[in-house]
Amino acid sequence: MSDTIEVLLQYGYLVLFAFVLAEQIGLPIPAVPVLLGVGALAGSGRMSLILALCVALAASLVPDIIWYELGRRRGGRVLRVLCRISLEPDSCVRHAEDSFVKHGRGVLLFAKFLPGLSTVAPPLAGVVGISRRQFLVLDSAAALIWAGAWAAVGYLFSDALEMVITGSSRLGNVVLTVAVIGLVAYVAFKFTKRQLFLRSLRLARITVDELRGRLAVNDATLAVVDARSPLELQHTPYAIPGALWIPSDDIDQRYPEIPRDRDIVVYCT
Amino acid sequence: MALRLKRHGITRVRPLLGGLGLWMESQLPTVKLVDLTTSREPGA
Repeated sequence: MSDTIEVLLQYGYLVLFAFVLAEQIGLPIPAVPVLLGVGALAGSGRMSLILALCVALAASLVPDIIWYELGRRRGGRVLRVLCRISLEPDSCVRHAEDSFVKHGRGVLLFAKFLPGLSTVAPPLAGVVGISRRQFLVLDSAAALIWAGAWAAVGYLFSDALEMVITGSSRLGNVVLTVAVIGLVAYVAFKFTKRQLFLRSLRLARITVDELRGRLAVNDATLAVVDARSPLELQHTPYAIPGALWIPSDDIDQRYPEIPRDRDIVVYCT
Repeated sequence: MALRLKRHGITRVRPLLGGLGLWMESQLPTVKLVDLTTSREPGA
């Protein structure tokens, strides 16, 4: 029997708890492979699917409740901190808010299937004021649906998955090494690209004093764009005079409205 | 936002340091939004 299967058999529930907890906290550690593996072992009668689902539920609820409470108490600041972990933090908060506006609290039920949204949905539920009772019910259902779906896939294809795991183990550490190197290289590339872009933006930033000065003299080489979402506007219904409101998500349709021959000052909340 | 603008060829992007929050904290003038669907001309 392969080492991987041995480890899962001996420490399966603990491994499952750790991976689900890590993913729900917001770390870029996927729990799906473990859920598939546990489902496969349940399919061959060597682990309990019900117990695995209970473990996944517990591991999911603990960080979700903490993030929910932080969202209730600290508001949008929690989202910004959480989104820094994301590889696409710029769109992270905006997409989460837009999902809640479009789908309401039901978004909690499928958020766990969507990378990025799964981590910010609990604190955002706190920010928008979903009651504790409703959150607990929806989040518990979501955890069971998510964990159950992946475990069920593992359960249904248990024979094939065991073959894959055993075959991978025969290759020794090669597959794991290649996969780890690939993942590290991808994360490093995205991080570096983002840091270089952020550096260029930091150099280009404009202070409120400079903007005030340029607006005061009606500087024609300047245009101001308010990039806030409709939700943010409802929360803070004020704007800088003369600003053109183009939510970030509408940029691809409305960019022709933005003059190219001027400095474009962009602001959010 | 800045990245999206860059993709559409708008490169002279200057993010406002501190955002609207700092602007309002600095007691600088703002306009109250009565119609959230209205877009205002730049510089108007």
